[in-house]
Amino acid sequence: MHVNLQKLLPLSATEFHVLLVLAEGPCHGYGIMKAVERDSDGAIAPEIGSLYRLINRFLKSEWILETEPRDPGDGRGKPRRFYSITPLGLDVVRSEAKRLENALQVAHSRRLAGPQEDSGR
Amino acid sequence: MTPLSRASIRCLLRLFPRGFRDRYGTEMLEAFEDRWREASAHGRRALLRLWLRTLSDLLRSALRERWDRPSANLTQSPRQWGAGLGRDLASAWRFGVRHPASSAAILLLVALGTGACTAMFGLFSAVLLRPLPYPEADRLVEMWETFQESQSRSVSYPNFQDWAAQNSVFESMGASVRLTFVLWGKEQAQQLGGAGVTPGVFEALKLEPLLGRPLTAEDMELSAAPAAVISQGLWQGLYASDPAILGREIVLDGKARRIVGVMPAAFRYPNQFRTEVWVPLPAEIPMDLAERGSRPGTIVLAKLKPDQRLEQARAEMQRIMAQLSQAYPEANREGGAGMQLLKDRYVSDYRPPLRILLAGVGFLLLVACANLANLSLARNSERQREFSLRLALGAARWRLVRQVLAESLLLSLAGGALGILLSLLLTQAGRSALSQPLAVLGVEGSLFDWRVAVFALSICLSTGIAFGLAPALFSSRTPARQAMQVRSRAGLSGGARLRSLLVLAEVALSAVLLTGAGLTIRSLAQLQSVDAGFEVENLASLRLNPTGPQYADAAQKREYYRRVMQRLKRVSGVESVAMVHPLPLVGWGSQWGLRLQNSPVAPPDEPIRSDVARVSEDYFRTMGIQVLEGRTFSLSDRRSDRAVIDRTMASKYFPNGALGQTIRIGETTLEVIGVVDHVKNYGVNRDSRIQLYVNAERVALGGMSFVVRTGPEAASLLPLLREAAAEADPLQPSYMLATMQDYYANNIAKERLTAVLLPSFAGFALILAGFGLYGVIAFLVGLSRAEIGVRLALGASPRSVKLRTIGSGLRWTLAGVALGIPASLAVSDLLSGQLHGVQPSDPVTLATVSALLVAVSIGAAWAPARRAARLDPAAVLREE
Repeated sequence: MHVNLQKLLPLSATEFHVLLVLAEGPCHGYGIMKAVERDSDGAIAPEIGSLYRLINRFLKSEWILETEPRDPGDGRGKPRRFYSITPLGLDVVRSEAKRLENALQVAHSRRLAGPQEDSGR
Repeated sequence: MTPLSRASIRCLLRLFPRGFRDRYGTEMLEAFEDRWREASAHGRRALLRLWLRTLSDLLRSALRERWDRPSANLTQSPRQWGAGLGRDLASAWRFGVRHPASSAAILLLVALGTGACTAMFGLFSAVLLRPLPYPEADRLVEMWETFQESQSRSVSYPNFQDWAAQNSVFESMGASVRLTFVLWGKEQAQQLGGAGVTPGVFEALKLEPLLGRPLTAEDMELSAAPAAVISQGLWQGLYASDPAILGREIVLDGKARRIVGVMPAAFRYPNQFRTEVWVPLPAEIPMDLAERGSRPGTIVLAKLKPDQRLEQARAEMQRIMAQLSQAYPEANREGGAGMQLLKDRYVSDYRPPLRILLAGVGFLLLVACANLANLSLARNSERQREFSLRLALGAARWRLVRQVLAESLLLSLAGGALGILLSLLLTQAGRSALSQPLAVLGVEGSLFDWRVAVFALSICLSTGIAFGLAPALFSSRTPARQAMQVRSRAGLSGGARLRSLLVLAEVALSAVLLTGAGLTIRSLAQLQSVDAGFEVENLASLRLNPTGPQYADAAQKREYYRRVMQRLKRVSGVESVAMVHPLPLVGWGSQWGLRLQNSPVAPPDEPIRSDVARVSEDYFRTMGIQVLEGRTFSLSDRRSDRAVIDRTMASKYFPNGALGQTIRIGETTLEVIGVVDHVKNYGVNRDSRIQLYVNAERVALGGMSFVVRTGPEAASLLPLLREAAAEADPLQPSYMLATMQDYYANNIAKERLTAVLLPSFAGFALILAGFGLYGVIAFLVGLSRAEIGVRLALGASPRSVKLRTIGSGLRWTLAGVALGIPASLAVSDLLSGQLHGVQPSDPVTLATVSALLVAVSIGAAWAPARRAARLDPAAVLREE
């Protein structure tokens, strides 16, 4: 299936972070919430409603899919649903990362971000 | 996580589309539970923050999930969605100001609905949800012994010691006995509520003393110097908060004790109303306590270990009691252990009525919401064309929905703020009705806490959504073509249907409330007409329990009681005086095992349990208890053992005639000389047992109650009676001064609470339903003006037009009643445990409710019907 990835960009910060978490490996809803919060230093903290809307759309867009849980439960006997990223999802998150990288480079070149380019020379 | 939070999240999840909810609902709930667990480690503030964030997130997400266009950009961010919200709020404000009358009506309705709900929830939460003022109070358990499965009795002290030593489920355990002490002052004596306790009571309740220390194991030694711990109230009142109180002496019942500690005001166990002194238990009544078979009113308080549950504790205690009854068959035969959470001990009686009232006020809120939705539909109808136009021009539907919702939320929040003010007033009123449980729980000060705040906010928001959603969806749905047609009736008729359905719902909900109200009123009326077995009116009572060396033997006590009786008789207005123990209606019991010598029903060697009262000769006459057979005690009976029994014992055990039969209590054989009417000893709404009366002259006496038959001025005589009793010995305080009417009112206070509040909710709902009906019928008449005009022009009589209009209202009412009555039967299971002498399906109530609703419906339709009948056909036809 050919998808024009550029049409799907830019992602919102939450979407990007959720995909980043899943790119690392399968995870369940609560785990995603915690990981996004950790990765973004608390700047992005989706609550359950927003998160599951995202998951729903990602599933429909086939960016992620539901996988067999790695562990059968959390000790309380309830197996959780795990989600993992699809190749398409990986492509999307890569393109977004690329886009951000480009943007960051522009910022660098205008000395708006990162270490000063010429200080190391 | 609390059940309330879980239920709230479930409710919020309902806002999501069905498919979404089915797929992710459970998962979302689980994720929230994880978040909750995580936040609860950071305290209450973190929980509140989590709550608010989740609430707003769920509301937002649910709305977006429902109304985002399918084609909406996948990557639309919340910021975009929030754009224009300010504009919506501003336009909501402008719209509200342009329609001052309907805005004010909505504001008022929201205020009344949320105010009543918040007030009721405040009371509910204060009594049922707030923890007791002790640390980890949810692990406190009160225990007693059971006997023959069903009966309960106090705990024998050696049994208590074995419980404490052998169990592995409790971290601490203490025994206590309620006591009363007389404290001699300079001029007069004072009665103090107190308790004999073991150190375990202090360990379980875990409150730090204000001064000094609690009682310890050393104090329990019989050889130790007598110690006492006093309450904060006593310290402040009697000792003027003297900081050097520790080590001073307090003389109780003539015995000097050293004060070793002062407990804070919250510490009031075991008598939550009045415990002012705590003394070491074993030293208090050593003779009684030492014996395993003796049960001197001891109650056990224990604290579960953190990982133990009530069921485990129950199983463990059952095991221990089984061992103890094997080891001591004589004392523990057929014995077991009963237990209940301490909080439940105090409030479980109030749980059903408070739940009913909360449900009732919830129904009222629903009726108010239906009414609000109707009002809001009416005022939005003029905007329908505007909305259709915007939709046709490509506006997203959710933007329109949001605009209408913003308006209703704005109104509901403003109304809610008013409602909270109103609830403060209503709470004050409801407080007096619940003064007893609130006093037991030690709830003082404002009832408005974080629970009530969260509740008030959530009902404001849900009210706003509930009454805003229908108009919001409806106005944003109408296809452009229809709405754009000038004066299209087709475009409006859907509104008429929706509005009629809302009224139908109002009528149905009102029917449920009215049925509940009718049943509680009938039940209260039944209770008030219950024959207590004696004449409750014009009867005063007081209690005396002389202490001190001069009352050491029974004869001295008897002599004192005789003096008191003479003094009381001399008070003007007093007709007769008698004494009794225990006094009926106060909830006391004194049960003995009787052996009937010649009963065809009960074998003579098997004891039957009966209430036994000690009474003086004049008791039956003073109380107005009817003598059915034989006679009551006379002076000549002071020399022989005689008994009077009640009619239930006579008919059950001596069907062939009770007079002359003999009954044994212990070693004494009594001859039955009379049969009297049955008295509701434990209260008019409680079951009572068979009863036996013995002559107070023939048995050992403790404290006695005096009953005084007076004219109509019973209450005003109480101070005079106190003075008269004090003349007999100024150092003996009289207490429990009250009229029997007071005790009777206390008996039914709980029922009165429901029977007063539920009907007021129902009345309010009825008024709202009436207005709702009026609004809809007026609207329908307005819609069909042309049709009515044509009818009139074709010769229909104004009378038939009027009847038709009334009939159209009646149709909706009857449909509402037809739905409401079965619904009320379905929910009346909730009520059935609270009803006395009336069935939930009581036909009188159901018929009255239906008739009332029909009458209201006709009343509401009257004015619009008259307007319709007086239409000028010519004018109407010209309009068209």
